[in-house]
Amino acid sequence: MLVPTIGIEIHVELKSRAKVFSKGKNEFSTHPNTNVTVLDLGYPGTLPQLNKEVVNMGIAASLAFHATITREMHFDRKNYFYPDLPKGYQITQQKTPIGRNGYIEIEKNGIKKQIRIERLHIEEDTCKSVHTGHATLLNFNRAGVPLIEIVSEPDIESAEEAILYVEKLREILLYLGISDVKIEEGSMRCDVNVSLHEEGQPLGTKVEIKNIGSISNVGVAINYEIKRQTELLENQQKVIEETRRFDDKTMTTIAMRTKETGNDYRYFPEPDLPYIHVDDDWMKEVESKMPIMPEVLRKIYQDLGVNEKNISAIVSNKKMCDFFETMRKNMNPVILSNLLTGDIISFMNKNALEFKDIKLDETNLKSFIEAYEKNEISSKQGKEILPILITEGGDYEALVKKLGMKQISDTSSLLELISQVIDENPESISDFKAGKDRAVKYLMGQIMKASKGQANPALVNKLLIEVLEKL
Amino acid sequence: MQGLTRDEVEHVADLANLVLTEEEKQKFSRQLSDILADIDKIGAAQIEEESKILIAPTENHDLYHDDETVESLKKEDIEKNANKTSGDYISVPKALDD
Amino acid sequence: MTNYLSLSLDEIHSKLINKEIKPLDLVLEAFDKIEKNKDLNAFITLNKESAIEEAKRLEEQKIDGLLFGIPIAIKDNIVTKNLKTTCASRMLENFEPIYDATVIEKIKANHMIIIGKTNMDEFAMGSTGETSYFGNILNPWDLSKVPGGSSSGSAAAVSARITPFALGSDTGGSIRQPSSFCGVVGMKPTYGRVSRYGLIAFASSLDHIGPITRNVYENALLLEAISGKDNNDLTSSNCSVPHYVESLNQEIKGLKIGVPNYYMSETINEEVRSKMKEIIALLENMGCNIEFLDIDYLECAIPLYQVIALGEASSNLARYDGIRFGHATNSYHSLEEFYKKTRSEGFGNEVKRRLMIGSYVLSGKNANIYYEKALKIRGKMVDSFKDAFTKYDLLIGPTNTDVAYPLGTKQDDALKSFYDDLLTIPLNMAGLPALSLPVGFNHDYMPIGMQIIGNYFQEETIYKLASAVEKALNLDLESGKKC
Repeated sequence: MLVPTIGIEIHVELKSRAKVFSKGKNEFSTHPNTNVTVLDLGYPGTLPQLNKEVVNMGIAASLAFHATITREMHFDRKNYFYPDLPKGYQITQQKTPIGRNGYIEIEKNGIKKQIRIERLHIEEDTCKSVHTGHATLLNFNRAGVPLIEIVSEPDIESAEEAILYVEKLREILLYLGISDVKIEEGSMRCDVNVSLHEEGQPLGTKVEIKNIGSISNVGVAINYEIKRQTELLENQQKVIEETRRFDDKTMTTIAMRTKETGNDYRYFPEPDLPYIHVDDDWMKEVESKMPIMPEVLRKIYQDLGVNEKNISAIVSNKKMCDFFETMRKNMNPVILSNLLTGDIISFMNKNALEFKDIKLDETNLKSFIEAYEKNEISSKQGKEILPILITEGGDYEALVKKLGMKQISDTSSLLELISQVIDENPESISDFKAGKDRAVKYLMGQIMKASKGQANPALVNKLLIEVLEKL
Repeated sequence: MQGLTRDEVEHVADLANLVLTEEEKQKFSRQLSDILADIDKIGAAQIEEESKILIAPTENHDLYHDDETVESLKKEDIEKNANKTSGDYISVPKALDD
Repeated sequence: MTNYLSLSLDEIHSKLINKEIKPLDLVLEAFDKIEKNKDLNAFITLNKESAIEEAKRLEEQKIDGLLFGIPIAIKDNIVTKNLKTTCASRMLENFEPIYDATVIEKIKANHMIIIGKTNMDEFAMGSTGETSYFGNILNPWDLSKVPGGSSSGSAAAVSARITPFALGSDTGGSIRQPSSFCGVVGMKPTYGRVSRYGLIAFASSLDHIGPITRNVYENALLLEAISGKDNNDLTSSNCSVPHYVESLNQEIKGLKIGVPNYYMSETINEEVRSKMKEIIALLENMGCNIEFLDIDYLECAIPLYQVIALGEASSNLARYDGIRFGHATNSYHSLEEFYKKTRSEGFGNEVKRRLMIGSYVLSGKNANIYYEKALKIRGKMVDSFKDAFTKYDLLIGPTNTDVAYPLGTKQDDALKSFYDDLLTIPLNMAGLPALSLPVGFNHDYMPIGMQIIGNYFQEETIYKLASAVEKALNLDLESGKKC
């Protein structure tokens, strides 16, 4: 029985304002070659600088993946020639990655599994190449954009686990807010290593797959590669250690040309950048600014009594979750979660609104939910009020007054209304005494009508029966 | 250390991205061997394994720049010394694998 | 022809103040002298038009310092905006930088006038001035001899009194060795004292920019002008910059001076050694305490240089690929051929050889066997120097193993050329400041240089001793007078 062993290397572009080793703008989607400094061009005589925010982000990512932070770090140069690499070397962290020995927990069919992370390190991105007929065109906007590379241990055993791992990693980075993590746009790139071995035997030859353009294709590529290698091995052929490229037209992997210099990257410590030391204070400072991670939020929401369906809906939508987090402490979280994943989000979707557009705030939402909780408004009224609060905002009380929707829940006013209606309908009392239920319904209708619909129906019902029974 | 073989000379020429003539290969093979014999003194030197490396003779450490940006170079500066340009890009011969 | 540029800086300055002369007179004289000394081949690119323009512009300005209006020559590996910077290589033959090095900004802020870019060994790799793509440079003291290198043109220009000032760079001795061969004063300051931003890198952890001048006083002035913290170079130091000239002409009695035994060993030319012995006697007479000592791992200095400098160089020079700047081949069929031909056509033999060695020492397992071990030995050597400076104020020794030798002597000996830097390399390894001071001549009237080595950021102490020795010896160092 052949068993797959899978490891994943993920490059993520960080969204600092400036590049990592220069002060060029970190915006590569703008017009080509409009965010370029002499450093990004690798001009003779230039020297790298170091953007502190990138180190902050590296620390945050390491903490989020439960990795051990390296307290004394330096950078290294990785040397190779390629047109997209302006200096002929990439500044990276070979010897002293910022984080080591972390993990991500995935959950499959209710069973939890830890995928270990070997290392996280900071490095610089290359130019973006655009290929035409016989030339490669270089866009230096991307040169020097900060990256972190996250390298897993080969703990992944299937395409399904690989996808869960990538999705989980993506969710965590989204929460940290340090990257857009869009695989389709290249701000997240996955390289996958796949090998097969007979159970109980040593690991097989590793094949690396690059150029996978979507999370679902991570799975497609792995399954294809497992199938390809299985066929080779079953036909007594050898798997060659090589790098293959995923081709999204044929949905297969294709061998890439190997360089004669192999992978002889001639790493050595970067002499132009001084040592970095991360002390406890620095770590604490970064940690204090970190948002709560989704796994922690799930636990908190469970303890608050929010149901699993709502938790999933909230946590998987970072913006909704941010909204929920800012609101939940001041109001009933269960009602809030129902409203948010129900009426609020469906109204927003219908009207193409985003959380940044809506006018609900802590004050009006709180009043609304309290009124709802105390039955001061009916759910029908709620459905009328909520869209106004979302689109226009403003004071809840004032709105309700304006709409004339205030529910009368004050017992003495209600009792007054009840006796008035009973006085006007003596035949209903005889009906009630004769045991006819419709008498109560009829009186209820009359009372609601007299109150212009504002009477609290549940309370009226209760009071009415009490009054009738005493008669 | 033995002298460098022709293959090794070709390998280091590849690493340095240079192409050598036959004559150069012979000459460099001899010269590199001389120097590498000298470099073997490093291999032979006695030093404690755990000694700390010295990357650069500076006491500087923990120096950063704030996350602030500067203006981009202008197109004419970017392209001033470039070999070939095309539209807004610097152009290079196409790599085989792309 | 006028001869203002042979006057002392103070004399030139007072003539400018008194309006006896204008900056333009100095500039024109410098260009005349370049013409007259064409044989030296000291310059690659002249900045004539801009220099004249600048000199005229300065006539309108208030003279705000001793360096105001004074011509200076710049080694051609320091980038100058819109002024060709070639590194004496075909690779950068037509390279016009789009920014100024930090030292150039400082030179301009001091209203000095850049006369031109000086010839050098290609990419600063060499110690004879013979590896330049633009032809070799000659020694003004004897045109049949090498000027030393790699800052050959800068040392030759000052030696021939073409300009009073020049900037050089020193990775293994490239300021000090040519200064000693040409009878001028050359300072390699502490690593981090002068910003490297805009110095075209050879070996980043060993590269230094420093002043080459006619005398110690002028050297101190120029070093002060170019020193200081630079945010563009994270290895530059925020140590405050002293007024170095204040340390000149002070009492040196009681200074504790060490002489490393290695610097007086048999490998050093006998005439050079006996000159050093005279100096030691002189210093003892002047009240200095002199002792001999050992520094660890000095015998490894050259292999250390070959590993570290060439390893770094193989990486630093990888950017020359014919794409964004520099030479590009015009006949190729593939990207790979484009790269290889571009680099093989663009670099000379010395550079190619060094790039291959550098690639070799970092390749595969060698990175551990050679490179990492070299960095450890480097650390130990530095510890030993630091230890020495707990006992001594200064260390002294010869700058070189020999004086200038005939052209062609070492041209094709890959190994020998490194050995010129036997006594200078250790200070690049340690990043310690070291100055070469002319202290006399050999039987053939070729200058001999003494090296004065200080503790980190103690250039003041070096200048203090150098000025005392200079005064005591009172040598006539104008090479032109002998020729």
